[in-house]
This record gives sequence, C-alpha cells and structure tokens, in this order.
Amino acid sequence: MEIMNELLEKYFRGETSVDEETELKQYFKSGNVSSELKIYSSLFEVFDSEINEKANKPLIKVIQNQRKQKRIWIRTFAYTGIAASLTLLLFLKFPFQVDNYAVVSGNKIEDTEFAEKYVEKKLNHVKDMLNKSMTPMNDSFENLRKDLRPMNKLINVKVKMDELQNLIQIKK
Amino acid sequence: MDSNQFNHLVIPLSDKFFRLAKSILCNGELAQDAVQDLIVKLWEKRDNLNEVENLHGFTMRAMRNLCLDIIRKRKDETELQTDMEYSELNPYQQTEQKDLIFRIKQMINNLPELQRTIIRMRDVEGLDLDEIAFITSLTENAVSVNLSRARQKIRERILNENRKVEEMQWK
Repeated sequence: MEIMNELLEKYFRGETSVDEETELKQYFKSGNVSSELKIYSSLFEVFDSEINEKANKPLIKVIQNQRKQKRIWIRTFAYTGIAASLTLLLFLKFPFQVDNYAVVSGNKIEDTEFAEKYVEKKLNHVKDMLNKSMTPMNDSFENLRKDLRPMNKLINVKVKMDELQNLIQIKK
Repeated sequence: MDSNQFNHLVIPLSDKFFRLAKSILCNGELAQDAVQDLIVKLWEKRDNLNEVENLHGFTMRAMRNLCLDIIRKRKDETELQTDMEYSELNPYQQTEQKDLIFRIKQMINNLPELQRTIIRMRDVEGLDLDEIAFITSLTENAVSVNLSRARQKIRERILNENRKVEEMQWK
C-alpha cells in the first residue's frame, strides 16, 4: 500500500512513466484498493471509460464518399477508354479524311477526279440496288390502291343518298 | 496514399481524433463534425500523406489545430456552447448527483484547453511525452509541467468535493 501511495504522489507530480501509470490503473481496477486511496478510484475509472468513446457517425459517410469517388473514377476511365477506342477506329476506317487520299481495295488513290468518279459509280450502284429493293413495295402499293377502289364507289353512293334526302325534304 | 491505405492507416485513428476533439471542444456533436471535416481534408490531401513520417502525430496535431480554429471562430460569433460545463454543486445536485465519475469528467473539462488535452492524451490514450510534445508543438518539459498542473488541480478538486460530501453527511 505504501508503494502505491508513493506511486500516486509521483503520478500527481507528473513524474511517472507510462508503465508505472499502467500499474496504478490496474491497482485501482482490481477493486482491492485501500480506503485511504479509494477517493481516487473514480479518476482512473473516468480514464478507463473515456477510451471506449468512438466516432461512429462520420466514418460511414466518409467510406461511402470514398466508394462513390472510386465509382466516378472507374466510370471516367471507362468512358475515356471507349471514346479513345472510337476515335482510333474512325481514324483507321476513314484515313482519307485526314490525309486527303482514299484507300480502295488496299490501294492508295490520290487522284481526286478518279476518286470522285469512283464514288459516283458506287453511289449509282447503291441507288440501283435501292430501286430494285423498292419495286416489290411499289407493286404492293399498287395492289392496295386497286383493292381500295370499291371504297370510292361507296363514297359516291353516300353523296347520292344525301342529295335524295335533300329532295325529299324540299317536297315536304 | 490510395483508398485502401487510407482505410487502413487513417480511418482507424478516427476514434482517437474524436476523443481529442471532444476533449478540446467539450461537445460531442461538434467533435463528430470536426472529425468528419478532418478526414475529408486528409482524404483530399492523401497524395501528400505518404511523405509524412509520423502519421499519428501529424494527424493528431491537425485535429487539434482544426478544433482550436473552431473555438476561435465560435468565440468571434458567440461563446462556445459546451455540453459538459463544470459548475459548483448546488444543494439539489449535491443530493441528486452523487456520481463522482460525472463530476470528475466535468472537472477535467473545466481545465484550460492545453491541460485537459495533455491529461487525456497521457491518461486516456497513454501517449509518450515526446508524442504529446509533437502534437501540441511544445517542449517535453512544458508538457510535463502542464500535465503535473492538470493532475494537481484535479486532485485538489476531488479532495474539495469529498470534503463537501462529508460535511453534508455530518449535517
């Protein structure tokens, strides 16, 4: 007990080491404290209880914030990658737009007149193909028009009926 | 420092930040906000944290400085509202509030900021004097003097309180 008393005096003078303070804390925690020193038990109990105080609220927000930022970064990288790939693809697909030449069947063509004629020929070919593919549709429209002709007659009948009704009313 | 390192090295210090902030500000809610502010600031400057040698000391010092800024700003506006103010016992409290633990917490909170910060860093966190000196930007000797003064004051207050309780019992 005498030792603890001396240690406590040393503690209040601020001269104890961390180990000596741990010894004091354990002594007061043991419950086997002399009546003379019992008055200081609550002091060490306070220190013991305060170490359990925790910051719960802010951590959740920060961790969520970090995850959000991480997702934003991943998305940014993904979009940048896609954009870069598309740009590269366009560059490879249409190099003549950049360097003023065209590539036809693996051959580089720099003669503008020839390139224009070539493009016109290809466009005419596309036009022919379109016309051909439209022919069955045109035929279908024609057939539809033929099928609808009786309907026109019905409209004429309605007009005649109206005229007849008018005449009857006048006679009355 | 990437997010993984940040989660492993900085986030676990949050409880210590909170206790330090609460000790300085004497207000749990303000302390929570201060910790959040600090963590956001540290996260924003995480690239520089790899160069910091003493991460614990550096971040604890940053926490203390942030809290002192809050006190300074609040003092300009209004007096800082604490949720643990120390006051003399009135008769009602003497009969109803015999919880010495609560009273001792109030006694510590009533110490000057530097003393209550030092006593808690030492007696709650168990930090060495050189660590406390780094965090508070004081010399080890100055820390030792402040620690001694803080403990002496608490001792006197405990003895006074005990004397009053004994007087009450005799009456």
